Amino acid sequence: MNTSTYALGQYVAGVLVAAVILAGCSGLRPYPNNLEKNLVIRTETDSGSIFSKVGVEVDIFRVKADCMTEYQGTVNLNGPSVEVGIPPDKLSHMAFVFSNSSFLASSRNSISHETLLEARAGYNYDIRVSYIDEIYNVAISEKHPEKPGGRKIDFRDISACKAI
Amino acid sequence: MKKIFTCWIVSAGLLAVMTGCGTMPQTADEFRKAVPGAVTGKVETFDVNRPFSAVAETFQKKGPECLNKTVSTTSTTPGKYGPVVSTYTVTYKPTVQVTQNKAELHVQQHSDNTLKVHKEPEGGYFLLVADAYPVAENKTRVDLFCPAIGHKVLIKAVKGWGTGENVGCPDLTQ
Repeated sequence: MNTSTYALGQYVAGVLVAAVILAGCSGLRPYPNNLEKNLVIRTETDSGSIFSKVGVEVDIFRVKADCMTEYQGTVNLNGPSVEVGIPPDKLSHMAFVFSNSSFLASSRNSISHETLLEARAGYNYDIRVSYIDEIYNVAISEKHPEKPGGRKIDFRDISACKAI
Repeated sequence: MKKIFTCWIVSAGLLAVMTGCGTMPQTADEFRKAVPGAVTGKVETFDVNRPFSAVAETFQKKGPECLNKTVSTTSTTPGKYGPVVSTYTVTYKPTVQVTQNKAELHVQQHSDNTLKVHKEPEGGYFLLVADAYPVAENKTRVDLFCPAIGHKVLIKAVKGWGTGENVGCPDLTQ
């Protein structure tokens, strides 16, 4: 191996190590997503400006009996459709995070939309996430594969956990 | 970041001009009375083809869902000795009150990053008040008291809640 290849390899290794360290420091980790998929999340974004872009992800938390939340992981929603599995008949807390980066102002701001969701066993959930011209929306609907119709799931703040 | 700071300056200027005597509106009623005469405030009135009950329900749902937030905006600018990172935090407080003939949405904002010259009401300075009234069975009138400059996304969202055509939440960081 010649010197330049060795140096390049060291550089790449250093970048990878730094990335791993930074990922660990940020506290974010990918959601395992190893349960049966019961959510389909469809995302549409348009920042409204060519000088900025919008990224969306969802942080998923388990809600414990005392209504404290335990972070499970993050799902990147930068594709048009993502399938996710959350535990059925258990309360989850979902934080949809919209990050708007402006190239000109060198700024990056995030706003989150958080809601409780208890996915019923046997049901599927269609979640429409949108961010259009600085207005965002998260609409959740529930359907059963063998029953007609469905219902809209309303937003529920974490404080509603005490009432369950 | 600069846009948010500008909005704050305009909002503060609006309120300072409104008061004249050096006081800030301490209630939604005081805010309603002050805005029409303020250079940087405006009142918009529009009718929507929706029953009053539907508009009131939208205010009740969307106000807390979208506006019970603390947002921080961060920007990086070149400094003499390196990049300077600035963070600005604002807490919004929505209040919705509904009676048989009126639905009110009040939006207040509070920031720890600003120098407070005037007494701040509990929950923060009033930023916007929207009043909805039934006009006919399927028609509702909305009076919007708001800043004339800035906060466009918030105003756009509240109008959308009135018309029912766009019931999303405003990105309060913009």
